Amino acid sequence: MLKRNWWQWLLGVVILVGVCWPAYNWTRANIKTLKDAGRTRMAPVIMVPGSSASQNRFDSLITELGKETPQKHSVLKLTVATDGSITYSGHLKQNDNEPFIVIGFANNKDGKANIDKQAVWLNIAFKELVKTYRFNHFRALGHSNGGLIWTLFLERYLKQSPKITIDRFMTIATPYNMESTSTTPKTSMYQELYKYRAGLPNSLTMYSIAGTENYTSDGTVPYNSVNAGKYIFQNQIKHFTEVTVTGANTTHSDLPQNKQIVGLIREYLLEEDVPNKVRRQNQQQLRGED
Amino acid sequence: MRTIKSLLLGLQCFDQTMARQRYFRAIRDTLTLLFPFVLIGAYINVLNQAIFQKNGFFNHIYYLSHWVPGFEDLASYTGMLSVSVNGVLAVIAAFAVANLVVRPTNHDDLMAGLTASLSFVMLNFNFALFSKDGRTATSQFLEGNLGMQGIFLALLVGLLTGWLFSKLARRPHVHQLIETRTHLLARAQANLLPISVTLVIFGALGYGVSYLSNGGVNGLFYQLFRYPFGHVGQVMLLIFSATLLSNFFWLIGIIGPISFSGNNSVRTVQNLEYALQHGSAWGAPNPITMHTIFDAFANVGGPGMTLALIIAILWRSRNHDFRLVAKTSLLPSLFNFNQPLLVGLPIMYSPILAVPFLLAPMASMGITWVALKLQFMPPVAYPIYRTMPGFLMGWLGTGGDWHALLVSVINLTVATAIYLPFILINNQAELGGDHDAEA
Repeated sequence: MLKRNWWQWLLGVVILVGVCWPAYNWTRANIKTLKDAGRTRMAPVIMVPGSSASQNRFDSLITELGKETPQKHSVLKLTVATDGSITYSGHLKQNDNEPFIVIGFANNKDGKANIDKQAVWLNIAFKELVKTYRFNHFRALGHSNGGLIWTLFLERYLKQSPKITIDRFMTIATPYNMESTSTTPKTSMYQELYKYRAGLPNSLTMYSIAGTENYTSDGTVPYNSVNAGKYIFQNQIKHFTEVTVTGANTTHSDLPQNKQIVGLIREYLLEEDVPNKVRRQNQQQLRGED
Repeated sequence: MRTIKSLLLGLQCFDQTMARQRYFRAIRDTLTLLFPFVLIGAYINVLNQAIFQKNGFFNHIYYLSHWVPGFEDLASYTGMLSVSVNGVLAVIAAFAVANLVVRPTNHDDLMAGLTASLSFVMLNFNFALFSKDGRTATSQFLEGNLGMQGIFLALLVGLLTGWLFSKLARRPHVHQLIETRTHLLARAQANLLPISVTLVIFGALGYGVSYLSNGGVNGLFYQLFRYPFGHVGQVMLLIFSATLLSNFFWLIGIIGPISFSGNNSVRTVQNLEYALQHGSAWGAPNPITMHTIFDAFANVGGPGMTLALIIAILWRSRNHDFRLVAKTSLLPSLFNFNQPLLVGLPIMYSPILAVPFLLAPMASMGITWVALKLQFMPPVAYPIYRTMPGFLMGWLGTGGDWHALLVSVINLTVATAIYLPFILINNQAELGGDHDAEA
């Protein structure tokens, strides 16, 4: 009987596989769609400037981004005072799903003790934003010490908002080892970041951008200090990419509005559908890294 | 073993005795008479609901709506077929029962059938039409009650009409191969009394019920029968008894107070939320619900695990009728449409098939419950749809957990084993009369 009907059995198996395999793929895809549907439509890009910079630090970057991005982003600026009270300026447009929010601090001085405090203040402001705007995912951008504040926040304080996930994180010229030029990192700031690194979200995709004027520095932050970031993030998060930008306008304070960096921000942080020209330029930078 | 066997034989005897009883026989014959229509309806349902509908299984897995030309047109066309073929089955059933009840007597069976159909439709009049805000009523009849859902009421109406005709018709009916006007008018005269009495009785009944329920007599039935299922919750005993009751309702023709509870209950949504947040169904807050136990694991081939019945028949049955029905019903049953089996074998109003029809889902639910309690598999938390092949539901609903697939296969095997003795006993009855008691 088996011999006579072998082709029927074969057909049965082929049909079974032809149903089960796509069914399995569909259910996985469906689960992913549902997961994405659970995310709020609003996902702000939250920016933290470096030390000694005000909440207006990113103005020229925002203008630069505004020139080319297809959608206009509205901008909200927050300043957190030393007692945790917050003053707002600017406002979010009603139908803007990807607004820019800049968080600055009244005490924006350099130094580990200040940065630790600033991370706590960032947490206060962040929770306030979540409460007001009810988003459950966001992108983060930190310039210079702003990147340190973000990293501390992600390691230690994001857990306090358990339903919130971070989509992308980008730091620009962030000195993970402060002003030390050493390749064997040791500063207390670095040690703190390293100690709490297990707290980083596993699913995080992050980009660290370094600018160089010469072989060693962008004039303010030593390249080796930016490069030290990889020891903190490696094996903790999903993707860590380091990009080095050189050429015109690569001094520390020019970096945020540097054209190449604007291109990187657009493609990798905002995940915009950038023109091929920008894409090619970004790829050259990534390749230069290898 | 011996006691079980004598029990089965006793059941078989009871089954055959019942089948000889006039009214009961009329019901069973009606169901079998409906078989071709129900079968075609089931194939249309497969086309319409599994292929050309947003939540259809094949549309999901092959993304049909994206590439099949004229998908929308095909959806409307098969939808039309489905509604028209399946939507008025009960009217035919009412006709057939009254007809078959009266036929063995020497009264007018055709008139009885026609009267029963009219009476049944009358019971499903939409009284909302006469209410103050009557403009909101969109139709004159409650169409929802005229399909498979209305079978139970249709059978009752048919039986009562048949009884009235055999009591009230004045003259015996003589069948003529070629009708004449004179004879037809004589038929009208002879049956005027039973026709009017029947229509008046059912008219009054329908009107009376309109004060109790705005869904007609059928709506009243469903309100009553759905009542026990309101608060099933997470207690296994309640889920068990609710399923038992529901499957019993299917047996007598009250289709689906809880056929497939769907993805929308609060507990199911909580499970889904949890699974989406944690990336897995493990540890979902409500592991034991109607949805995770019954929908996903005890509904393979439709209520009563009827795919197992088909397997048992195709494997061991020597009853030619059974094999014919099982073969033709296999495809719809893969997508959980078991109505052809219900009326074709029939399972409805069959004492002998009723027992495994009630037992098999219980066994599946028991096995599933143990598997969940022992943490052998995660609960079904991701959405599953009515037309998914039953034995894949656990697997797909857990996001592709192989343990769940294994449990489904075990359930199907056990259910087949439960159906098998009843098929074997039927074989003996088929082979030869009374001496099988010694066999």
